[in-house]
Amino acid sequence: MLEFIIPVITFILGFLVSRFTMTKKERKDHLARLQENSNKLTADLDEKFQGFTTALNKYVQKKDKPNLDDFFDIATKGDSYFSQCKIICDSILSGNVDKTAIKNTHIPVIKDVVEKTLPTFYNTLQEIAQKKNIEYQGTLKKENYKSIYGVYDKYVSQS
Amino acid sequence: MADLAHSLKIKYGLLNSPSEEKIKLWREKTESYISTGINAEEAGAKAAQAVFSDYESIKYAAQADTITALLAEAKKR
Repeated sequence: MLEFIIPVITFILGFLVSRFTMTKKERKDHLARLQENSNKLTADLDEKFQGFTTALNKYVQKKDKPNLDDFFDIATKGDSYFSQCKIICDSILSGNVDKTAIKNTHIPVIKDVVEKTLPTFYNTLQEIAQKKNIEYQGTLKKENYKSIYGVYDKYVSQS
Repeated sequence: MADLAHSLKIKYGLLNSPSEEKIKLWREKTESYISTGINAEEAGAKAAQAVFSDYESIKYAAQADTITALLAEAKKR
């Protein structure tokens, strides 16, 4: 009986060990994947940033008075930019971004978003809407940006 | 490859998208730095500095400054 059980246990242990630990190569591949993910997140954010600033530029430089479409173009493109920030933060919180990249690349952006961009965005849109009698209900609600504030609390306010 | 070129351009503040040859060179250098025990992020940056002559020519990080400046201008319209 024992002759039968020992190989089975050895097999199961071997399987578990290989399942829950990484070889050197697997670890290297894993880190490379985290790094690639970080690069992609940064590139995607840049794309949203371009869209956002294009909408803002169009509004600012328009020869005639900017109209309702121009206003809502800023609102929508701004939302897309902040949504991408949320995606980055979700990825950070679920452990899918390289640690050094979080510290050097993503945190400076998220810090700026929380401290400057998000509040200025909502304040400015409200002011413009009031001045121009535009129906705009957007306000900065923390619960809409849970992961962004989550990352901020975890990495910025404690440092 | 085009995606990677764009990512590298943003990540390392390059003026132009790097060629496939340069990317290959960057990848090899990064891997060789990693094999000496340097972590991936630092290895990538060191390799980029060595391979791309326009390394950190543009700061893509100051997005907040651009956005808040444009918002301030928009308020005046």
